[in-house]
Amino acid sequence: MSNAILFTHKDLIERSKQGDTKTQYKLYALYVDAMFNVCMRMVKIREDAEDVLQESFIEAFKNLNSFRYESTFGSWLKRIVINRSINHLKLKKLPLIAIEENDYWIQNDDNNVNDNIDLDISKVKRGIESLPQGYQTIINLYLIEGYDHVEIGDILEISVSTSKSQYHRAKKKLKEIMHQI
Amino acid sequence: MKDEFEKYVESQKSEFDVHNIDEVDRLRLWSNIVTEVSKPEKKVIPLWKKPVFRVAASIVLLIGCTLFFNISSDRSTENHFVNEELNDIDTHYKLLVNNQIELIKNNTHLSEPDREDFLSLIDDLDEEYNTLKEELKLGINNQKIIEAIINNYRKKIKLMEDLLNRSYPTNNTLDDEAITL
Repeated sequence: MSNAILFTHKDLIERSKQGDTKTQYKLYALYVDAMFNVCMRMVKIREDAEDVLQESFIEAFKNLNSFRYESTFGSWLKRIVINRSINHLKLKKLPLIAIEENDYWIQNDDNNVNDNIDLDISKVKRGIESLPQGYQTIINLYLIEGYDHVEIGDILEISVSTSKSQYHRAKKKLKEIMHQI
Repeated sequence: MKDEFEKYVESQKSEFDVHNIDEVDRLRLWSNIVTEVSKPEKKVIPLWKKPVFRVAASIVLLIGCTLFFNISSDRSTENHFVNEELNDIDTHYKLLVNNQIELIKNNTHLSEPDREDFLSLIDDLDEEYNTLKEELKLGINNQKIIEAIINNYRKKIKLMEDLLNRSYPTNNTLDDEAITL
């Protein structure tokens, strides 16, 4: 990642670190919509998403001094939002990964399922909404939020191989659903 | 390696940002955020900020807990064994002493002064026995005290045997078990 990208909004961030509330608001205004969408994808319910969003920004501003431009501010903030969302799902005792009774007979090859699927984004969205909660989470993290399996393993506190197998099953299920739509 | 489906979803990521947070909610959340962020951090006693003090405190606590639990567990185990041992001794010797007392009570040949002397000596030995039992509760040198208690019982039995021998010089009616110490 080039330095120019890493240091996006550096001036705003540095002034926010000094406790300048006006600058902090500018930073908040720049990222609030994107982060709200992340929250909505993760926790689904608007009120819950607002709570998570608020907690995340509080945590971010309180710990802004620990931000060292090792990633972009956006991805640093998004990681806080994702972690807060996962904690929220845990508190609500919602499954973070899916466990199906018939998992053992699901085959690994999904070639015959998806080669002919209609690549239509509205179908993808409807398909994701129809997935079980655990599958939605891993599809969101990998496919939409762009985390790799090492990062997902860290976020969900599962092994890399579990992340891979969960994602594989979730994607297969998603394609099956899309076929039926 | 991403398949066609994954590449397609990745190219359409922006389609998933469908939620908006209106101006009123945005300002309401900001108001909550800025209130929380501007709250002063709880003050921590500076001493504990230094890692060396934290480590020292942890070690002291650990040692304290270890000593406390070891001592209480040793004491209770020791007391348990001491009580069990004493109970066994008590049961064994009480049986012997009661046997002898029964014989003395039924003895028609015993003179009144002999009987009184005997009872007085038994009382002294009883007093000594009670003192030894009290000392045993303190838990100091239990082995010696238990030996002294056994000697106390032996003295009583010897006293009774002598008395009975004087009254039955030719016919000893004691059980074999009763005189085998």
